[in-house]
Amino acid sequence: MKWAEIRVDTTIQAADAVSDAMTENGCGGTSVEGDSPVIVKCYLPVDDRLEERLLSVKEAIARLPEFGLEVGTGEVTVRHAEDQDWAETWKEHFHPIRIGERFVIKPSWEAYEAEPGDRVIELDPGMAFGTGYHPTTQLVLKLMEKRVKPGMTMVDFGTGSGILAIAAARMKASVVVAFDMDEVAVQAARENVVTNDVQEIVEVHRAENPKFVGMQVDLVTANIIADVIMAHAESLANALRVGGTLIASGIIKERQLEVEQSLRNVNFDIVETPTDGEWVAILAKRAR
Amino acid sequence: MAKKVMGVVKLQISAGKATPAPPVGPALGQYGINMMEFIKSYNEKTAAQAGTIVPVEITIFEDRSFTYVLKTPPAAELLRKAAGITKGSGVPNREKVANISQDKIKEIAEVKMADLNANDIEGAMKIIEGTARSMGITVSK
Repeated sequence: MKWAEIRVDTTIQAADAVSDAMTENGCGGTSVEGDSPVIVKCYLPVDDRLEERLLSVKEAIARLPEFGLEVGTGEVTVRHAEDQDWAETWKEHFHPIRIGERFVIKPSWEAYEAEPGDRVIELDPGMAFGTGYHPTTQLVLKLMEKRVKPGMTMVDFGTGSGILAIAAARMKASVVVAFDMDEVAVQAARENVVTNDVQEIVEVHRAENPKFVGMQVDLVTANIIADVIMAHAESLANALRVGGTLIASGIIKERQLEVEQSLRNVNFDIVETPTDGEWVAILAKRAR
Repeated sequence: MAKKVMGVVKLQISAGKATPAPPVGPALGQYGINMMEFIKSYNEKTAAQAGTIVPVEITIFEDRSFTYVLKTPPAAELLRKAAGITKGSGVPNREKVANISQDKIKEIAEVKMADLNANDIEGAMKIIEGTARSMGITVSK
């Protein structure tokens, strides 16, 4: 099927009326982009009713000022759009990727022949951050590769898709406790844990503000953002045994010094700060 | 859960009936996100409101994961409901299909206030009233 994309430049005030004129004339929904101007778009199949429907949409928009609605330019543009298999084409963005020495992130629909020593994590992108395609996640995985030893215990704070928790399990961590404040992330992480068959090692909990008192784990990962890391610096320290390692990521370079200071304030020593583009990760040790 | 936003997409689509066809396909396809996961989740969450339009705002992160929130129905939808009609007038300047009260306009304006960029409730009411009249719904003072 061929589609005609109809695009109208308008205002927030008239967006609903424009959208309604489109759906009343056969569009199966609309997309609304921007604030000023607002672009309302819809699609109509290219068939013998197209001209009539288009005319009807244009007339309806032209009439809106009569009813006191500010339509902006109200300009209507039409272009032809080829039909695509929208349900499948997005997958072109995701292929197995190698991160660090041995991690491979693989979407479920792609075949991947693992090489000896590969640590494969199967992860379908979805509704939680952490697909392995972002520098902040990659920075942590590379640091984990050097630091995680068999038998280690770990807390993953702000687990998202669960990618870091699963990675630790792949490196033979003994216990990983993952937290997220978002129920959607908790569900996604739990599903990914089962897909990767590491449910004996990783447990996922929903928590807004975990205090971690008395946890004493060997490693804490926090791939979040600078503000959240700083706000929870003391809790992150509480989770660790003395000498334990924190890997904090999701920090843009401009915030690096601030975050480092907040960690020093709660007795962390900064050990290593690798960067990737505008992002920095901080590896710190709990000194006492 | 790190939040690095790549884009925001707003869609006005029928509850419980999202498909990969336009407008969902092209709007989300340009960001390369897991479209079927969105569609399945949206349809599940909105199934009970079938027959109405439930707008959704999807936030896409830099790693192509996403989250979304459902929004209040569009003004036209609320107006149709308030007026007890299923369709507006094709020729609203000539053919009127319903009448609603100023109080109803105010109620709808209050619901839609946040989305309308209006300075005050009077401004929002003016927009809702204009939308009503553009659908062939008259407003009694």
